Amino acid sequence: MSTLSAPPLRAGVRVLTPLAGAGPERRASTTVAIDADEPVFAGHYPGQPILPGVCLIDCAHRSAVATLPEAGLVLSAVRSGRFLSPVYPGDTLNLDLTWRTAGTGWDVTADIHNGRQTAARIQLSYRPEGTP
Amino acid sequence: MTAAPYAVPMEAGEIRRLLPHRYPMLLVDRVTDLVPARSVTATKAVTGNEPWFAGLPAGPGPGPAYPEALLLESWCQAAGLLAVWHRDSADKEIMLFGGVSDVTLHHPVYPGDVLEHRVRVVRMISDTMIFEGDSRCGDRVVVEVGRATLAMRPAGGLRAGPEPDRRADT
Repeated sequence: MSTLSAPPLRAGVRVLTPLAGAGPERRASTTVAIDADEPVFAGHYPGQPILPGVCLIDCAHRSAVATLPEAGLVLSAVRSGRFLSPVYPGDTLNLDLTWRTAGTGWDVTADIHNGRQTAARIQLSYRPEGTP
Repeated sequence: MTAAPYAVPMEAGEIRRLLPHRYPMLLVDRVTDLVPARSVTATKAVTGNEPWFAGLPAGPGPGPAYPEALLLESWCQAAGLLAVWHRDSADKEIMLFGGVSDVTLHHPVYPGDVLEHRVRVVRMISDTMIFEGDSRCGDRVVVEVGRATLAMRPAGGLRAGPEPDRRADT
């Protein structure tokens, strides 16, 4: 059984819209509350807290795991991550996920909004455990 | 003029001079090779003593793996050192992570592993640098990075918080 890696953020993922759709494209949405007491902020950066872009990749990943179209899939690739606007302590992130079939697994695109503008667009790949 | 290789190893104190990152987000420990404008090799020891492992239950085996996101962050900080090794300090410019693509995750990483990051410059255009490379544990490649983009910006150019709500202005 595959298990999740240790989470870099204390914030959990809350599913807003469970996975919907029956075809090769499915949608879901989640929310993540970025509190000021997240451990990452103390070091990134002292006196100027800003959420590391990689933590947006992690939010997309854990949102994807919470809305997987099928069981037994693991994160195999970050196809792309584009960081468009900063995320600060106190922001609430909304993630819109679009899943599409891809070979033996699924690809997902997460559009992440920080309450002011689009913060990032992350594209991830999930494949059955043990496959390329 | 060919740049001579940096006198390695670059140790933690020097890394703290160059990077603004601090605990628990200073994720590179030592630089073992650095050729300016070309490549850098750096290491990070993975320990269960980082905050993300706090509160995890006891059980057989290594437990949850090191966060994939921070594995990538550690590699990116190694790349960042290639951008700033010649600076006097971390004060004048900050690095922005513009984006990444084609990151392939091959194996999980656990406490006790020592990561060796290998970073190569693909392109440098004014204040933007594009890198590629991978990370290994021993002989095993654990992650490959197809493209990562870092941009240098003047310090203070990044707002300390979200913009004030302009609708309140009259």
